[in-house]
Amino acid sequence: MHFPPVIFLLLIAGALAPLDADDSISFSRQVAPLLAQRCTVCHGAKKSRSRYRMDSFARLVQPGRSGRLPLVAGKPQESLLMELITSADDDERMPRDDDALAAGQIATVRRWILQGAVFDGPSRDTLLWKLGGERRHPDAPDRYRVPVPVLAVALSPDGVELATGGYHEVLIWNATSGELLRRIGAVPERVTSLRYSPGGERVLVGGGAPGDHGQVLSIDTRGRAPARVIHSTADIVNSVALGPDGKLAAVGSADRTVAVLRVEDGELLWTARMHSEAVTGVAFRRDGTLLASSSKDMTVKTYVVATGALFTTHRGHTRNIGKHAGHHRVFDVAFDPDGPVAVSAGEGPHIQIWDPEVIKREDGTAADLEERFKKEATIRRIDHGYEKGLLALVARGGRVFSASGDGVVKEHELDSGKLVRVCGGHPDHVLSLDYDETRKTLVTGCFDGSVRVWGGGEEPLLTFVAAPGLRQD
Amino acid sequence: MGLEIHPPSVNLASRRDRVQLVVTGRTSRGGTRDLTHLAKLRCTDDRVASVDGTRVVPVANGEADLTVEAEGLHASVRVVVDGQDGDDPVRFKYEALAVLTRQGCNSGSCHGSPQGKGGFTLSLFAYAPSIDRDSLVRGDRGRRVNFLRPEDSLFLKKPTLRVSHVGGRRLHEDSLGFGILRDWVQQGANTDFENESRCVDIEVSPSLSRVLRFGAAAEVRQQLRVVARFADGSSRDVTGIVTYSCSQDEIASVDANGVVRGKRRGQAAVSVRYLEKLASVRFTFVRDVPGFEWSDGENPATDPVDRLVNAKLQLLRISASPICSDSVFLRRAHLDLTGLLPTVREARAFLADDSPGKRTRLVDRLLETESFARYWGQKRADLLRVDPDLLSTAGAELYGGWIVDSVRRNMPSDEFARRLLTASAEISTSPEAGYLFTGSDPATLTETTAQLFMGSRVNCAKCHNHPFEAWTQDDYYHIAAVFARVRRDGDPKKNAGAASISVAMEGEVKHPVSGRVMEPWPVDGAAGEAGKDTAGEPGRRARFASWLTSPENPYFARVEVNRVWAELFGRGIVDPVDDFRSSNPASNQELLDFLARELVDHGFDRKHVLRLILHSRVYQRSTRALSLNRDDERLGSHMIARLLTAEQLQDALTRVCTEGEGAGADMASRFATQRVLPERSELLVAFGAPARKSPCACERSTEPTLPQLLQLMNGREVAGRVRDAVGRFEKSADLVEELYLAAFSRPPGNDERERSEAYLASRGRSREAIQDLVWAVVNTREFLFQH
Repeated sequence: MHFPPVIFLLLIAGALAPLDADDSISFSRQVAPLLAQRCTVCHGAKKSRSRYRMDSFARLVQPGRSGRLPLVAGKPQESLLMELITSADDDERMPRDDDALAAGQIATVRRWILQGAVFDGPSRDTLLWKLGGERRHPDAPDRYRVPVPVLAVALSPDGVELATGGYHEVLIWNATSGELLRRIGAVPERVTSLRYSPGGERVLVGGGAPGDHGQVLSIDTRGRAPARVIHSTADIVNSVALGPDGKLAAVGSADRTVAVLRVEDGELLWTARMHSEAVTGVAFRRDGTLLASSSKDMTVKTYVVATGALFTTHRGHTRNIGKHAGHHRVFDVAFDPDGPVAVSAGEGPHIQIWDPEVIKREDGTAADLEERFKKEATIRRIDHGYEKGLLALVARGGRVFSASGDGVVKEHELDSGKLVRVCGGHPDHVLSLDYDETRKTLVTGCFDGSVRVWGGGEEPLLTFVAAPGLRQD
Repeated sequence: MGLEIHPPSVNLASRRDRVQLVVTGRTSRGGTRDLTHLAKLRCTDDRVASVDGTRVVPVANGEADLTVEAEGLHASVRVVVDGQDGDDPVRFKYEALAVLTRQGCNSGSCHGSPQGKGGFTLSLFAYAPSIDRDSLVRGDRGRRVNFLRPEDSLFLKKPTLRVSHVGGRRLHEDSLGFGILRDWVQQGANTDFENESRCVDIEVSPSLSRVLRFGAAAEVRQQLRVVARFADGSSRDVTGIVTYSCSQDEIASVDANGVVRGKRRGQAAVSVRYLEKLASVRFTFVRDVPGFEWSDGENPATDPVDRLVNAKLQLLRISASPICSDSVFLRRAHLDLTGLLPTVREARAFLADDSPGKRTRLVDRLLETESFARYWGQKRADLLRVDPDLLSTAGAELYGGWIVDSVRRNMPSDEFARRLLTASAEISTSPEAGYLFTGSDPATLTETTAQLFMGSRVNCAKCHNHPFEAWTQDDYYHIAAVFARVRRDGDPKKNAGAASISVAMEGEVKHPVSGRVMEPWPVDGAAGEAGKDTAGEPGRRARFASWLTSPENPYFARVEVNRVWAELFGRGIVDPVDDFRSSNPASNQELLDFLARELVDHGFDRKHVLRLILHSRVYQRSTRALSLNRDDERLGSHMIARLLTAEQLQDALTRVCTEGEGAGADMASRFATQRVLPERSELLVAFGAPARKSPCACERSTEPTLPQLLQLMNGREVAGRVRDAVGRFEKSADLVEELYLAAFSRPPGNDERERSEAYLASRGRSREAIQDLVWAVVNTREFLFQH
C-alpha cells in the first residue's frame, strides 16, 4: 500500500484513540448491566429467542440460530448485535417491542466492541447481572413520609433490643420502651428477614428490591463495622435461617433459589433450584442436618444440609381429592426446635405439622389410592380459622405462633393443636413475628408500619410505628 | 367553511383531567372534515391551563380561553379550571385499573390469565377489582408497591423496563397512565372501589356512525373523544385511559390516543372499552371510484329494501349486478322457501308464464305451502335442539311437530318465544315445554336463550366480564336467576309425554364470586310480586319473556329478521347471526333497523318480513359479480352462490332421479327437508347436517370437505339414486330437456343438448349411458349450488 506518511499516521492514531485509558469501557460495569436489564428476558435461561442467550459473556459471544457472530472484536460494523440494536426497521430492531437503547448506551456498546470486546470479569460464565459489582444502597430517609410495611422483626438474644426492617435500613429499638436506639443503613430497599447471631453482636439481614436483586448482609448491631454482603440473588431474598450453631445460613429467594452458605465468610456451599416459584421460607431442623424450604409452588422441600441433595418433597398443601382437596401456596415453614417435625402453612385452612423422615418413607411407596389416603394421617393439621390466609409462623417452646392477613396472631399448642390465645387488634395484615421463649415475649410487625410487643396476654404491652421522624397527626 | 370545537367549553376539575378537543371543519355544503391533527392550540393564560398535543391540561384554578387555529380558520373555547388544590384521590377502579387494562396488563395472555404470569395475577380486564386489590397492594407481602418512593413500585418498574419484564415495555414514565398509577401509590394505594361512584355509561363523539370521505390523501382520520358519566352526576373525559379496537383491520386502524385512520373503502366499527362499559362508532370510509356509475332499475328505488341496500352500495361506490333469469329465480325461491327443487312441471309452467308480477306471485304462493312450513320448521328445530337423544323420538316428534305447526300458522315471533320460555305443563299437552328440557340447569338455559333470542354469546360472562361486549358476569347470573325455579318432572328419554315442566317453590342463583343471591333479569327494581314464582305461575320467566319481546327490546326483533335474511342470502346482516355485539357491526344497520321495525309494527309477523325481502330486486340479483362489486360479499350487490345444504342436496338428488311428473304422495317420507327429524344418513352427515347438540347456527357445517366429493362420486346414496334415474328418464320423450329442467330448472342450451345427445347415441342410449349422463349432471356445480 502506498499511503502518504501523514495519512498512515492518522490511521494509526485513529485506531489507537479508543484505547486511551480514560475512554475505556468496562464490560462488567457498563455493558453487562445494560444487557442484563434490556435483553436477557428474551435471551436468557427461561426464554432463548432465536436460540441466542446473553445471560453470561460465554453465551453472549456464541451465535444464535442465524449463525452470525454477535460480536466481532474491533469491528462493530460486522457485529450482528450492533446491527440489530441500531436497525431502522422496527420489526428487526432490538430490543423488540420496546424503545431503542438510548444513543449514549449504543455508543457505549460500540466503543466497547471497537476496543476489542474485552471481558473484564472474574469468569466468562458468571451471569451478567452479577458482574456489575456490589450495589451501593442509597441512604435511608431522614424522616419517613409514610410508614412502610414491617416485613421483619427480631428480638435480640438478651431480650433487650428489638430489630425491625425499615426502608434501606435496620432499626434497633428498646424492646420495653419502644425508644429508637440505632439506625443501621447501607442495606437494600426492603428488609424481609432478621436473624440475631447467638451472641447478639451481629444480625443477618435478608432483603433486596423486588424484581431487581436480593442480598444477605451481615451487620454489626452496634453499627461499629460496615455491613458485609455475604450472598446475592436475582430477586429479593424472602427468608434467611441460621443453623443451630450459628455457623451456617440458609437463604430462600423470590428468584426460586435456596442456598446454604458459611456466615463467617460468605462461602457458598450449595444452591438448589428445585422450586418452580418464589421461595417464601427456609428453616433448619434442630440437629442442623436437614433444611426445609416453602414456596409459592405449593410444596415444601427438604434438603440434606451437608450436600444440598433433595431429601423429600412435602406435597400436603396440594390435594386433588379427599377431605383436604385444594391447592395452596405455602408462605412459611419452621421446624420445632424441640422435636423432629416441620410446621408449614400459607393459603388454605390449616397449619400442617409433619415429619420429613416419615414423608420421605411414604413418598413413592403409595402404590394404590388407599395408601395415598392413609398418608393424610401422618400430617397433623391445626385449623387456624383465618379468612385471609396465614403469612408467617414461628415454632418455639412447644407453641406455634402464626401471623395472618386478618390482622390477628394466634398461638396454638404444637402437640395438641389447642388454641392458647389470640392477639388481635392489628389494623392490617400481620407480616412478621418473633418470639422469645425465655421471656415469653412476642413481637409482631404489621403492613401499616406498626410494631407490637406482647407479654403473656391478649393485649400488647407496647405499640409503636416503626418509622423514624414520621409526622404524627 | 367554519370551525366547530368539541366540547364547546372545557372544564377541568381534577389534576389528572385531560380534555381531548375535536376540531371539525364544516363546509358551506354541509360536509365535515376532522382537522384536530392540524389544529394549533394555545391557552391565553398558561398559568391556568396548558396544551399537550390536542388535549388540555390543567395548571391551576382559574379561567382562560383556548384559541384554535386550523386551515386559516379561528375559534376559541372557554377553559375553567378548579379543584386543583384540594384532595384529589385517584380512584382505584375507574382510574388505576382502567390504566392497567388499557396497557394490556390484565389481558388473557398476560397477568389476566387464570394462572397469571410470573407469579402476578390480575382479574381478566379488571372484572373483579377485589382480586386486583389483593394482588397489587398486599400480595406477596406488598412486593409490588413502594409507598415511600411510588415510582419505584415493582408494578411500575416492570412495564417501564427499569427491571426486566417478559411482557416488554408497556408504559412510559411521562405518560398520563404512569402518573395516575404513581399518584395512586403516593396517596396510599387506596382500594375502596365499592365506594367509587359507578360509571353509568360512556359517550363517544362522534357518536353512532360517521361517514369519512377520502380526499386526495391516502388516509382519512378522525379524532375520538370519550366521556364517562358517573352515578353521582359527574362526568369525565376518559379519552386517554380507555381501550380502543377496530373490527376490520384491513379497512381502518385506531391508535391508543383515539385517532381513527381509514385505509380503504369500506365499513368498520371502532369499539371503546372503559372497564365494563363498551361503546362503538360505525365508520364508513368512502372514496370516489373512477368509472363508477350507478345503474340498477329505477333510481331511486321504490321498494324499501332496495332503497336501503342501494343507498349503502352507492355510498361505497359498489355497483349492483342485474337481476337473475327466471330459471335461476325459480330454483332459488323454491330451494330457499321449500328446501326442494321445483318439479319439471313447475319449471315449464313458470318459464312459459309471461305475465308481469309472476315472481311476486311465486314467492307468495310458496310461502303458503306445506313444504314451507315443514322446511322452515325444520330450520327452527335444528336450533331449538329437537334432539331424540335428549327427548326420545316421541318427545322430539311432539316438540318438533309443535314447531312446524307454529310456522304453518305463522305464529307471531313474540308469542313463539314467550310460549317456549313460559311453558309449564306436560310435554303431551304443551310440547313447547321441550325447550326447557333441552337445558338441564339455569346456566345452559341462559346461554341457549341468549344465543337464540338475543343473538348474544354470553358464555364468556359465566366466569368473567365479556371481553368484547358489555355483558358482565352480574348480567349472566341475573339471567340465570330467571331459570332458577324451573322444575322438571319425569324423564323425557323414557316417557316423553308425561315429562313436565312446572314451577319450583324455591331455588335461587348465586353469584360465584360474591355469593349474593341474584335478582332475576331484567334488573330494574320493578320485579316486586310480579317477578316472584308461585305455583303454576312462572313469574320470573314471564317477566323475562315480556322484557325480551317488548317492542323496545334491542335484540329480539333484530335477531329474528337477521336470521330470516341469513336464510335467504347465506349470510346475516350481522354475521354470525348469533353474535350481535357492537364490535361486530351490521353490514347495513339501517336495513336491519328497518326490517326489525317492520316486524314489530306488523305484530311480529315473520311472513311479512319474508315478503318484504323476497319482493325486492336485491333478492333477485344474479350471482354474477361485476368488476365493481366483486369484493363485496355482505352488502347485497350480488347474490352469493352457495352449496346446497345437506338436506336440500339429498332431496334434489331424489327429486331429479326418482320423481316423475306428478308424483307427490307423502312428502315427509321421501324428502329430508320435509322431516322434522331427518335421519342421520351418510350423505346428510357428510354435507354437514347439524346433530342438534347446540343452539348455534354454526353447528351446520358449510365447509366443503373431501368426504363430500367422495360421496358425490361413489357414495351409496348418490349411486343408488342415479341407478334409479334410468327408470324415470328412459321413457321420456325428450330425455335431455327433462333432465335439465329437473336439475337446473332450465332447458339445455344448444351445445349441451348436442353433446348429451351425441353421447347417448354413441352408447346406443343404453341404461349405462343414461346413468352416466345423470351422474355427470348431478356432479356439476350448477346442480350442487344454489345460485
